[in-house]
This record gives sequence, structure tokens and C-alpha cells, in this order.
Amino acid sequence: MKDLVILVLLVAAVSAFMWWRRRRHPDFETESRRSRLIGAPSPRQSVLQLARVEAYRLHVHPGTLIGFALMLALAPLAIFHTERIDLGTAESDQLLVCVLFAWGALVASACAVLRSRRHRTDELFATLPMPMESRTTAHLLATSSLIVAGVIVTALVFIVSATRAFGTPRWSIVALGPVLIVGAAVLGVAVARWIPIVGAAFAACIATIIVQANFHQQSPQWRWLHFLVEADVADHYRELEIRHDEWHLVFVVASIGLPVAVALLRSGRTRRVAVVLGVSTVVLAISGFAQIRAPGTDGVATAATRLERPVEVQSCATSGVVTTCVWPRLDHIRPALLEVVSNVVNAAPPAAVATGVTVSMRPQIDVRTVVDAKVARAVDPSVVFGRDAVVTADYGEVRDDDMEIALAYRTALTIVGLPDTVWWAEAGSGSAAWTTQLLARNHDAGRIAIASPLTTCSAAGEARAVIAGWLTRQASPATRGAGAVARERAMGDWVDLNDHYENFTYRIPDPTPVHGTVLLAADWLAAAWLSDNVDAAEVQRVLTANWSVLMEPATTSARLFALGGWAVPGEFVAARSPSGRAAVIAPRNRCADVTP
Amino acid sequence: MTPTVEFVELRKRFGSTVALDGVTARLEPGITGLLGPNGAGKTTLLRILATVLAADNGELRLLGQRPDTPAALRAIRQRLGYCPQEPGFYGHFSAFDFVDYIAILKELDDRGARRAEVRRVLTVVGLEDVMHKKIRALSGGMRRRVAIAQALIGEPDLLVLDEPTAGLDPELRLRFREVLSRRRESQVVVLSTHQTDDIAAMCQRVIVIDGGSVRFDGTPAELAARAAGHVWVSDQVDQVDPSAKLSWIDALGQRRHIGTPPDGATLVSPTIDDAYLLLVGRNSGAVVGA
Repeated sequence: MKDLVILVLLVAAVSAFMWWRRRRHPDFETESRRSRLIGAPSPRQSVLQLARVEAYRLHVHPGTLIGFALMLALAPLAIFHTERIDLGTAESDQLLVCVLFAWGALVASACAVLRSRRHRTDELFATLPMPMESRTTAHLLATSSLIVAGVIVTALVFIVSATRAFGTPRWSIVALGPVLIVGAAVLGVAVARWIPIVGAAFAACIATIIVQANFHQQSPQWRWLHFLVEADVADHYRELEIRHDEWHLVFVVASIGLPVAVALLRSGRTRRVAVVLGVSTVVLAISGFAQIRAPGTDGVATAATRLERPVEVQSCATSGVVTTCVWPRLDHIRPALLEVVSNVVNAAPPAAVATGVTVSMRPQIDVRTVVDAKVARAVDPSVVFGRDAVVTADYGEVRDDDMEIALAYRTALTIVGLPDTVWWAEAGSGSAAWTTQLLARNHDAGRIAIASPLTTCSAAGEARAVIAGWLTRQASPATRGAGAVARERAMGDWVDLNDHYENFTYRIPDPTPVHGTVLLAADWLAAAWLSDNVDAAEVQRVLTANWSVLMEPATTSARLFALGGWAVPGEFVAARSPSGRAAVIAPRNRCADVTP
Repeated sequence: MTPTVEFVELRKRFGSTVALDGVTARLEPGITGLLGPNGAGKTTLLRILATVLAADNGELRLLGQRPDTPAALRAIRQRLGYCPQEPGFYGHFSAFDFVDYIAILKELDDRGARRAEVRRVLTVVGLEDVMHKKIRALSGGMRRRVAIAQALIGEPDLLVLDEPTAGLDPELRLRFREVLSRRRESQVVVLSTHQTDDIAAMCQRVIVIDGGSVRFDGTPAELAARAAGHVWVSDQVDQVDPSAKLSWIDALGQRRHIGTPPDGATLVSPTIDDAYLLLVGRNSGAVVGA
């Protein structure tokens, strides 16, 4: 918010300077106003004629073309940054590319307004019947022509994205693409009318980043007030979030009215300006309030149900011993989900999965940062993140190596009776730790976890740990590399097989751990040795024969290897402890002590 | 209705500088030339007539209307053509596109008619062959013609031209004279120039301004006549007559003097130049080309 205040102060300072400068060195427009030499507005037909010419010029302006070229150049980064794109949740990510075009349009429209000033035709234009107010109107109308270019550009982005995407994008988010492009061009007109230097247009581009970034950092409600509601966390949990996409579209459209009024205001206070300003302010206020208002009782109840009992509102199907529950929108993910889970289940002894395995798409702990405060108070986090035998599946695409590993790992943990996800130990709703406390704080350029009822445990040295690692590696070619990060660690370090890159780097403590059980690097290496050196059928035979013993928390990994008669390297099964390097959230408990 | 321009006791100051100090005239259809030294107030007067500037005091009626209401201003500007002293151009526009742009700002709404008019004015100034070239690719003289062309759009009743022939070659100046002379019966044309031969060739009326005041208002012949008996020549090119206000060697190799001639001097017929110099020559006794 500090940046936002600085931005407002900067705009005020520049405006004051420009006002002072105009008083000392009046331009032709200022002189005309002082001398009351402003002619009557031109008829609509004349304004439209000029708007038509300006629209053409706007489209072929280098700013617009450079913006388009940049968009084309950088689009692959947005589109191909992941193996598959869920267009049902990540539309905003794709729209970010359109912002480059929008900035080009902003600069182009500002240059169009400043053209007469730069080429010194202001004196001549001051003698022509069409006054500056009508010319400004024409410039504003010309920007609306970018809606066509905006639609084409947005469609282009989504068509290219569709080649590697699934899901159906929401129209209310897709529509933001053209709207943002037109809005940027309108902003360019407003800026140029008040600060007649091209540099101000570039500054305006930066200002849009500041506004976007500031609201983005605000609470779940306030983030709706920025242009593009980020897709990174919030959109991931589309079904769990109370969304305001339609209101947001109205909000962004109405916010264009403000620069329109500001641009026209430069030519004097007229009734038309007052109407535009009044209408846009009212619509902005209504749509803004609609987005940030607390949800109603029904909304809270619906959101709470989805958080606490997602299976009730999901689409479930059973195949063999595996039951998969997915959000109806994501039904197409089910086969991939099933494939990974089934492969892990098939690798396990039949007795271990006799009662079946249920997989459900459920939120991770980071959902706490996006749910509405009222909803957060209404749910019991120990239920949302409870200890149960259901495998938690991520929301996103499964056909991604990291996601496959994570899902296989969680399935394997469930099969061996270890917690698959982090859990909330404190029962009851509305606790301050859940509703208000951040899970981490910034410190020395890093993020430090804050103590909370958030719980994870260690299965270090247990046979279950090695078995979980081995099962994980059986799911697919991608999961064969599970635990590879362990090779880069000291033998004793905790390895949280998170699907977040930061965890793999092990440099940034992650405030939102995903997995309830962490293994030691040595456990992973032992599992890797087992899958690389012993036939899977042989391992399965030993597991089947000794399953109940192996599931005892007291059974060590050394015992597992002894039962199989496998000569595993000693350091993988020797007594170990963490090396002392900073762990993500160092397990406070042995899994054996907390498993119900 | 006959278009007229009338101004009475116009005054304009820029800070402590008096640009116009009670200028009065009534202009009928025809070509009126403004003569005067640099800083005399010509451009200020033209800008006031072109509704760029407002006078501090005085009465102004342009084409029968006072430019003091938005509606009147718009009506006047629809019948006004203006060519500034330093016209700006959109270099990346073609000549056609630029003049067309001005035509739009002049509220010529019918696209077909407007484009025909643009072609017409560009042809009038002799740019028909290069009208689709970018302005930045045109020579200075051609650009000046573009500026004149835009002023001619819509055959305005009032044409205000600030040094329109500066930078034009002799042939184009002749053509320009021909263009203006066609409309002299129906248009009020006011032009400022330092080319006295343009004044002599085109203008029915000449107004000499100096120091913000009108020093002369009449026909070019009357202006020239002002110097009758005050211009003489001598064969002694090296000798400046002490009674001359100004003196220079002319094209015939004779020394030409302006001032109070001595007895026995060889008087010659004065030109507008002579009269103008006699009227506004600040440095009495100055010798030019000695």
C-alpha cells in the first residue's frame, strides 16, 4: 500500500508542476481558454470522421505495433511455461500477455494526443472549428476501435494456448483482455491531456504495475480491486472461492470511465464530463462493493461445505479398488488421476488396499490465504485438513512430472498409513491462528514459518518410509525420479517432497508445506536403491509376506532390507539424524507418535 | 452578404511589451497586405484575426460576427483559412492525408466531397503529383505549399496568411498570386509579407504597422506616392548624400537615396520599397550597401 501512496503523491506533484508550468508558459489551449476562445463542440458526424482517422493511426502506431510484437515474442513464455494449461482456472495467466499489447496501446494513444504539440500544429488547430474537447472525444472514440484488435489478440492467445490446454475459460475473464487494452489506451489519452510529455505515458505503464501489485498483496477481498485477479493461488481453488468475475468485469469497464472523464475534464467542466464521472464512479463503487463485501449466509455455507466435505459436491467414480472424486469441471482429469493412483495401488500388496483407496481433490494449506475471512471463521481447519485415509489430489493437471510424483507420494503414504498432507491439529473453528495469523514472515530475505497448529511428521528410518518411497517410484516413468533431490542433500536432511519449486531448491523455507510426512534423504536413497536394484515383483512378494510387520512404526528400514535379504548400502539404513541445515518446517513429531 | 473584417482600437500586450497599440481598420473583400518590420505586431494582429489570440481591448468583428461566444467562434472558424508563419506538419503523413486531416477538423463531413476538395486545393498549389508522398520527404517550398493548400480548404471567406510566400521560388510565387487573385472579389484576404513586390502585385490595400500602430493604410500606389520627391539617385557611388535617411547602390550601379533631397538632385519614381523604408526606417542616415 505504501507504493500506492507514493504513486498518488507523485501524480499530485507532477500535476501541480504542470499546472504551475501552464500558468507561466501557457500553451495555445491554455491561452484560448483564458481568452475565452474555445469554440462550440463539433457535430457528432465530424467527431466520428476524426475518430475514424485516429483509429487507423492508433492501429499502425509504432507503440501499438511494438506492443503487439512484444506480445508475440513473450507469449510463448506464458503459454509454454507448463506442460498443460488449465484454461478453466488459468485464464488470467494467459491474459497477462495481453498487457504488453495494452501498454503499447497506452503509449500509442498518448502519442496520438500529443501529435499536434510535438509537430507544432497547435497554432493552426486553434483556428479550426473543431475544438480540443471534440478532438479529445475523437481520440477516446478511436481507442474503442482497439476492442476489435483486443478481441483478435485475446483470441490469438487463447487459440495458441488451446493447443496445450484443457478446460473451458470463463467468458467474464476472457473479456477482460480487450477491455484492458481499450482501458490502457483511454488512460493514455487522459495522461497526455494532463501531462503533455510522452514520458508520462511510460510512467503510466509503470503505475499500472504498481496498482496491480498493491491490490494483489491485499486481502482476498481487496485483491478483486486490481485489474487482473491473479490466477496463481486463488484461481487454483476456483470451486472453493467466492468469485466475482462478472462484477469484476463491470468494475474494470467502469474504471475506464474515470480516465475518460479525466481526459474530457481538461477541456473544461461540462455536464457531459459530470455525467461520465458520476456514472462511472457510481458503477465503480457498486461493483467494487459487490466484490469486497462479505459473503451471505448461503455463500458461507456453500463455501464451508466445499472446504470441509468436498466429496459431497464432487463427482466420484470407482474403478477397481480406487474411487476418484473430482470437481465436475475437472472430470476430464480423472483418467490421468486414476492412472497414477492405480499404478501405486497395484504395486502395493492386495491386503494393504483391500478396503479401497479414495482420492479426492482437496485444497492445500495455502487455501487459507484466499478464502473469505467470514468463510475462514466458519470452517474448522482440523476438519478441512483433518487426518483421514483419503488421498488428497491436487487441483491442477496431473500430467505434469512434479504433480504425478506428488500424487503418487501421497497415495503411497496413505497406503502405508502415514499422513499424506499436512494437518491442522487444533480442533474447533475460528481460532486466531487459523483466521488471522500468517503462516510465515519475511526475515533476512527469506520466509520463516511461524509456529502454528500446522503439523507434519517424520517417518525417518521407518520401513514405512522406504516403502512409501518405493511405491511412489512405481507409478509412472515420471515418478521413477521421485526423491532425486535427496542426492543433493546430506544424508540426514529432511526431504519434503513438495510440488513447489521452492522446496526443491531447499533455500526458501516454505510456509505452506503440502505433505504431512517428510522423509530423510537417506530414506529416499534407500527406496531408490531398492527400485533400481531389486525386481519389483520380488519387492512386492516381500511386502505381501511381511506387510503387518512392516507397517509397525517400530520396524526400521534396516529390518525391511533384512527381511528381503537385500544388501543395501549401510549409510541408507544406519541410524541417522538431520544434518542441521534449515529444514522447511522441521517435523516436531515422529509419525509414530501422532498417527491415530 | 459581403464578408468584412472590422477592428477598432485593438490593443494587445505581452507582459511589458506592447504588441498592438490601438489598431483600427475595416477590410472589405480583396487582398490586404500587412507590411512592417520584425516585431511590429503583424503576426499578433493576424493571430487575433485568426482567433488564436484575443485582444486585450478593442472591438473586433470577423465576417460580421463578434468572436465572443463559442457558437460565433465556431461559425467564424468554419469560414476561416489560416496559414501560420511557422506551420507545423505531421511529417509521417502524406500531403494528402495531412490536408485531409485539416479538412476533417474544418468539419467537412462528406467524405467524398472532402477528399475531392483536398485534391482540388493540392492541385491549386501544384502538388498534384506528390500529394501521396510523406511530408517529411517534401522540400521546404513544397511544405509551404501544403500549408497554403490547407488554408484554402472550403474556399474560406476570410483568409489569413502569415508570410505565405517565404521559401517559395519565383514561379511558385507567381502561381500563388494567381491563386489569390481569383478570389479577390469574394474573399477577405489578409497577408503579411516582407516581399514588397508581392504587395505591389497582389494587394489592393496595404497597411504598414510599426511599433504596434498603423503607420499607413491605403493602396500600394498611395504608399509609393508617399515617397514621391524623396528618392533620388547619383552616379557618385562612393559618396553618401548627408541629407539621405537611407542610401544604397541599386542594380544599375547608381547610389539611391531616400530622405530630403538636396537641390538639383535627380529625383526618380519611388517604389513601395522606398516608401516603406522612408516610413519605418529607424536609423536615419543609415547607409545600406555602401
